[in-house]
Amino acid sequence: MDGIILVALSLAIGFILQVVWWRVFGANISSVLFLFLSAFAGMIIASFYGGLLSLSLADYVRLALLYLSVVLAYSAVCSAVEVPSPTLSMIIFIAQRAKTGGCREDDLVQGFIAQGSVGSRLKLMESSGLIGISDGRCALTKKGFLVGRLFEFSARFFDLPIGG
Amino acid sequence: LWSWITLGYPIFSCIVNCVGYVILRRGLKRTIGLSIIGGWALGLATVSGLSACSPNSSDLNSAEYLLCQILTYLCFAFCFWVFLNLNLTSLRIRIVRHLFHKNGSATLADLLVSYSDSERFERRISRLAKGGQIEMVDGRWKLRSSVLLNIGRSIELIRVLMGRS
Repeated sequence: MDGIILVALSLAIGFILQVVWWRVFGANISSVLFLFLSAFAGMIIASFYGGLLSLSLADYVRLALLYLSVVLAYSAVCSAVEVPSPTLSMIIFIAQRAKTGGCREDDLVQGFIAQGSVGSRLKLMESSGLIGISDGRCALTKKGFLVGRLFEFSARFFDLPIGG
Repeated sequence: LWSWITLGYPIFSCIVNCVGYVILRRGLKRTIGLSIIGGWALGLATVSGLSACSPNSSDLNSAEYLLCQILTYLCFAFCFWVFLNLNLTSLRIRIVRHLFHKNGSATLADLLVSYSDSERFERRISRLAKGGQIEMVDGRWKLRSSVLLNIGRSIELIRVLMGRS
C-alpha cells in the first residue's frame, strides 16, 4: 500500500498546511488546491529522490489523479467551512433542542435570521467577484455572467429546478 | 500502453454516471434523487468492472490498484453531486441565475424582497421535511435522520480546527 500511504501522507500534510494558512491569513477557498498540490509535489519529489517509491510514470499519474479527485471533493466541503450552510445550521439548531422535546418553529426562525440576511450574502458575493453593487443596484460581473451561464445551462441539461 | 488506458477508467465512469443520470432524469422521467443514485451506481459498476477485468499492468498491487481506481471515481462522482446540489440549494447560485434572467442587473430592493428571510426559511424547512430529514411532532421540529447532523458536526469540527467558529 505504499502508493496509497503516499497519498494519505500528502493529504495529512496538506491539511496541516491549510490549518496554519487559514489561521494566519484567513479562510480562502482558492488556497486549498495550491496548498494540497504543494504537499503532494513535495512528497513525490522526496519519495523519488529518497528511493522510497519506485513506480512507472503511469502509476504516478494514477496516484496524482486520485489525489486531485480527493482534494477537489474536499474543496467542495471547504466552501461550507468558509461560509456556514444555513441548512446545516438549522439541523444543528434542531439537534441541540432535542432534549427539550424538539424545537419550536419561532425559535428556529430566530436562529435562522441570526445567521444573516440576504444582504450579508450579497456582500460575500461582491467580495468573491460575482456581483458589483452600486447606487442601489446589483449587477453581475464578467465572472458572474460566466457562472450564471454555466448554471443556467446545467439546470436545463440536467433538468433541475431553481433552488436556493 | 495498457496501464495508460486504465488511467481513463475513473473518468470514463464519471461520464457514464453523468449519462446515466440524464437518461434516468430526462428520458425515463425519474426523480432527481433516484437519477443521482442510479447514475452513481452505474458509474461504480463500470469502474469496478473495467478495473477488475482488465489485466493489471500497474506497478501497484491488485488491491491498491482497485482501491485507487474506485476511490478516484467516488471522489469525482461526489464533485458531480455537489455541482448538481448547488443548483438545488445554493442561495448564491439562485441569485446569480435571477440576475442572469434579468440581463445581469436588478435593484437591491427587488432582491431583498424576492429573497426575504421568511421565503428562504420556508424553502429550506419544506426541503428538509420532504427529504425526510426533519418532522413536526406536537408542534415542534425534530430530527428524523442523523445523516445531515453528522455532516454538519464534521464541518463544525473542521471550522474549529481552522479557527473559524
